[in-house]
Amino acid sequence: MTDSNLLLVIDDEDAIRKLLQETLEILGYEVILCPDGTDGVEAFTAHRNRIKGVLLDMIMPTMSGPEAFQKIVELDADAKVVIMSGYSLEGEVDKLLKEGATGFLKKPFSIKDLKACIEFKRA
Amino acid sequence: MPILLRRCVVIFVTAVAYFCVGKLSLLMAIPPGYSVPVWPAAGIAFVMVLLYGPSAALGVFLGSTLMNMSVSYNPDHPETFSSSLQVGACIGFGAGLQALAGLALARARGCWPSRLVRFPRIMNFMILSGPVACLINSILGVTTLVVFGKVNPENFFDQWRSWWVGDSIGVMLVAPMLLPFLAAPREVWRGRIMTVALPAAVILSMTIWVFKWVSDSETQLIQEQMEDEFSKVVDKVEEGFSHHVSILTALDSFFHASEFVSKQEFSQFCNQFYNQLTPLGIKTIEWAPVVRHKDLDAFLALAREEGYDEFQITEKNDAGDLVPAAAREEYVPIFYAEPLVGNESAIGYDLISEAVRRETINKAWSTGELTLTPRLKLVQGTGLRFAYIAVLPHESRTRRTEEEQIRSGNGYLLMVFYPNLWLTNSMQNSELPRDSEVHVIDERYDEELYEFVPVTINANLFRSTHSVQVGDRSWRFEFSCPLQAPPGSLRSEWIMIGGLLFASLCSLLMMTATGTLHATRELVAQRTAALNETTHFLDNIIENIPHTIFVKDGKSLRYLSFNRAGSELLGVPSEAMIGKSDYDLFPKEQADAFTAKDREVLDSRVPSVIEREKVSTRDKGVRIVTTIKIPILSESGEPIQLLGIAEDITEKLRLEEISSRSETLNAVGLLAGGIAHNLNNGLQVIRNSLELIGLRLEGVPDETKQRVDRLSETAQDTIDNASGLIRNLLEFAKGKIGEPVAFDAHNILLKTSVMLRGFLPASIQHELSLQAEQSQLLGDPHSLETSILNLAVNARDAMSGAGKLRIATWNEEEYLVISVHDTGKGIPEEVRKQLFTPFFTTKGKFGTGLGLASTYGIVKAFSGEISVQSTVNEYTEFQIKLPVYYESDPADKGQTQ
Repeated sequence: MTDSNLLLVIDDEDAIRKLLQETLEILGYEVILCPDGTDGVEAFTAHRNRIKGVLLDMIMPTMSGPEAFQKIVELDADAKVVIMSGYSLEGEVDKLLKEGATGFLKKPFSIKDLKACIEFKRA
Repeated sequence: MPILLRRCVVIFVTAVAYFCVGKLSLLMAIPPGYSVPVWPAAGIAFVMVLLYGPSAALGVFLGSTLMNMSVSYNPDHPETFSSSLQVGACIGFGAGLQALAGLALARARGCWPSRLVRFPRIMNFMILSGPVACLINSILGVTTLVVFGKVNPENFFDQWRSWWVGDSIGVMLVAPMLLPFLAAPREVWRGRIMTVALPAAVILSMTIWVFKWVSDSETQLIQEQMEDEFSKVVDKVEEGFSHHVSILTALDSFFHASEFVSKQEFSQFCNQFYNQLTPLGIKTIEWAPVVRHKDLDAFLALAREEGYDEFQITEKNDAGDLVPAAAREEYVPIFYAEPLVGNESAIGYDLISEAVRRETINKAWSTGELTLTPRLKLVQGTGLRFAYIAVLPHESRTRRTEEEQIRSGNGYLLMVFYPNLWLTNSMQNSELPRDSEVHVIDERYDEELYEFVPVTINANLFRSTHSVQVGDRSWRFEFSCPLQAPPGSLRSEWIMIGGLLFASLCSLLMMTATGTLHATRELVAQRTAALNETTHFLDNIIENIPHTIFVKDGKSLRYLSFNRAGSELLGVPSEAMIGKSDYDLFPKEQADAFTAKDREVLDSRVPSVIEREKVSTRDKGVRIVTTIKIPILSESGEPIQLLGIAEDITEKLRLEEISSRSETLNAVGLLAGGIAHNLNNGLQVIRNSLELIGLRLEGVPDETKQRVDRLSETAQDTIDNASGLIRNLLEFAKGKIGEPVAFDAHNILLKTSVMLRGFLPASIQHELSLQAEQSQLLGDPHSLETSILNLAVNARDAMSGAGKLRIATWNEEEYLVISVHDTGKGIPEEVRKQLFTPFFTTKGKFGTGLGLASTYGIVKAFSGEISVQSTVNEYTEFQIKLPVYYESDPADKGQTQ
């Protein structure tokens, strides 16, 4: 766990990425934005020592959230990944949470929910 | 039983049966002698050998040998034993051989072992074992009898024929009578006791009875004929004797009429009878005058005058030689004898000199009647024959002088005759049967005068005795004669043979008839079994087909047949359906429709399918069926019956409905997923933007900031609502509720009830009736609560402010039923159909159209069912039927999809 404030946001929705960047920067985080899982995993690979946590959307083109989660966990078993989703298939979120996802943000979530989720208090 | 012992028993039984039956058969003998019309023992021999094997032939041999010995052996003549044994053994051997031949022939031609059901085989069996096999002993037996001199060779053919016929009929009669009792297989033969054996026995008894009757009457007739012949003989003898008498009487008259009868006159007189003398056995006619001693000289002078040169009165001395008679007071010398030749020595013989003659003449004199001497050996006799002398006293009526007295005095007219000759003559000229035995006995002296004994001695003799008065004697005629009719004249024989043939033919026919019957029965049984199997098979199919199958009469349209499925559908037993019409079973308008369709199908002769027809049933309410009605046509093309096949599609329709609903749900699910994803993303953007706007309002006047915040809050609330809607939609679409847990539905209902009190107006009564004993369920309690609330809210809306809401539970089998009943406006039928369809709502913009759809999904998640009943303006009742959960039940009944 680094002490950096770098968060990796992976979401295919432009507006959400930008709003999250703005919100997170207000909250004092540095943000790397990725439009899909593939980019996200690449970015995580490139910056994994600095990345404090990942905000990962579930439904995306090219590489879906769960796939990207797997890759990220493979790269860093201790990676802090918060799942974001407006809709997910049966039991998928539960599964990821069991496999080590740090939190779940149900869209539409508030800034308060977001803030609580990315504090990453040690378990 | 050891085989040896068994064989011994068979041999013994066979021997005894053969012997006894043979002996009995002899009672039926046709006269004369041994000839028997039927010989059942031959049949017994054959049957025993047939059924118990060749060893029975030994029994036949023993039985036959003993039987034949007992016939020919005469205990009075022990010397006949040896020949009887030989004859018996030969015939016995033939009988055994014949039975074996019958068996061999029957086997060779495949007639045995057999059930004998087909005519050709029965015929072969009968002919081979009867006429063919019986050639053996008829030839062997008669040959034996001829060789041993028991049968005249010229009678060989007759004897053979009667033997052969008797044995053949015996076999053909006895085999059908015995086999039904003894032969196997019993199921074939047992039935023939009444149909073959009994009729044969009856015909046989009747034949024997008729035979006996005719035979007796014939015997009587023959006896009468014989008696007639005997009487004729006797009459003839009597007539002959009256000739004897008349000759002597005529002489007597002649002597009376004449002063003196000279020797010549005597001779002349007698000669007129000359021709009659020999047939009557008359040897000599004599005249013996009574001569007193004092007249002796005059008498001797008279003798010389008559031509007797050396006449002297003689007598026999002790040595039997003729000597001059001693002087005595009276003499009765034979004076005339006709014919004289051969009788010369008798002339002068003094009848008084000998005791027997003296007694006779004295008796004759004292009685004045014709008197016979006992049997005599004659003075002049040479042969061994005995003779009789008939003596007629002659008393002179005119005696005036001594001389006259000498010349025509008292005396005796004598007639010497040989009864043997006379009787033989009489017999020979009669029509007595050749082999008649005749004895003639002088009863006074018990002397046999005549006898005729034929060469052959027969049994079964007819005896008759007659008496004839001959002078002072009574002669007894004893006739015995075999009862014999001229060949071919006996009706009884033909009756017997005819009857027996008839009996055996009847047996043959009855065997054939019963055989054919049995074969036919077997065939019928086989076919029936096959048919039953087929029928059973078809019945089974028809009974087990889950569709109603019925047949109606083409005219009356009354039910002829109704299968189980139909009976179960209508709730009426199949039997009760038969003969009923649709009007007996259904409401009039249904019956009218059915009947009209029936008629249409029958008239058009074309099958027709009637889709989705309503049928009222007893137990299941109104059901929907699809029926195929098929006209069944006669050969001439006339519709005779109507076949109906009806499928109860009520359940199918319901399932289709459910299935289409599920498909809708699936589609909605997919759609909802897409919508939720995009919508939530959109809402995320809006919310985040709004929040950022709030954060960016630094330096804006407070009033403005407050206004923006209020707007933002409103927007945030709307976002929450929209998000809730999406969540509901997703929950519904996924049908997914929380993790299944075991819980008591009653607790949930109590909780719901409390909540309901909060939002039901006071004008709506609320009743909770928890009757179920088993209320444990497995599933998501929260979703159940949601469902009940959903239904309750619907109920409230339906009652528009006033009414009664009743929530009740009860158990139905393994299910818990939760009923939500309201007294609202009800749900029209067309609405009921779409009730559980997502997005269908009657509440306009106030309804999501997902309430009942999600309730439906929740109930399904519990593996339960939901149904609705309603009458417009009266009530609506939803029933949720959920499987009760038992803790011990390992099956995870609440597992959700």
